[in-house]
Amino acid sequence: MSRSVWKGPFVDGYLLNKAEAARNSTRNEIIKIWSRRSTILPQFVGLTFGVYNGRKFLPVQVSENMVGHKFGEFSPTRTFTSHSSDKKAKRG
Amino acid sequence: MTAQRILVGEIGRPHGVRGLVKLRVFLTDPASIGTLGALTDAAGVQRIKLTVKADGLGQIEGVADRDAAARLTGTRLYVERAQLPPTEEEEFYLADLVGLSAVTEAGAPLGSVRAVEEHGAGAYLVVGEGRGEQLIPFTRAAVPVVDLGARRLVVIPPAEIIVPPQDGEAAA
Repeated sequence: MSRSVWKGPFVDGYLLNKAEAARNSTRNEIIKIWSRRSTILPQFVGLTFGVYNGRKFLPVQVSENMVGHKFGEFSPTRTFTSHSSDKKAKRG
Repeated sequence: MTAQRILVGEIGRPHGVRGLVKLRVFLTDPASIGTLGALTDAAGVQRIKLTVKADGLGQIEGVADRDAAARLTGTRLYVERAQLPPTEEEEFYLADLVGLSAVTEAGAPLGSVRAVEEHGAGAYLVVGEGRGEQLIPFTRAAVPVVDLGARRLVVIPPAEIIVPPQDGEAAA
């Protein structure tokens, strides 16, 4: 069953405070979090989080398309190696 | 940029009696293997010209029967890095980034780029090994300089803000 709309999206409250502080800073920062369950909110867009996957903190650059998803979705806990040899990486 | 060969596919089992083969293609667009030009085997000796057919099949030039196709089963197909199409601005082939040496702004070595990974939230570089391994977001702020010619990139490791787990949240 999906979450009731009247409750709003779930996010750990302490993340909001840290994100607000990071937004006001102009430094190159990564916010290391364990909270994989938190929903990505519009105020997180543009920030980089390090989301714990049980072993390490994987960098997650939050973009508009990710709003509404959970942080844990972008930090896989199992290893997968793809074969694509012409894969490209775009510098954000 | 150094000359390097990139694995783009492998010839599978023969299909039918007219020399068709199954192809395992390791490209984002499997059909594009036919547009890369001449491919070579692992030793770089044998040149293989492929025509891509439907359903993951391919026709190799000079191969007209099943026995000849079966002899090529398992052959790995390589292409020269220069044959891959050019990238857009701020876009890099992972094959170009892996192996670059990472240095700080002051020139101190951080190790080499071991892998570049992407899980739907921007690419990041895996720099160094073992306990010294660092995961660096592939952004202009963290990686301001990528010099493929000199095989190096400049890294400004981001400052860390640690938000420890709270009650009800499992810390590993």
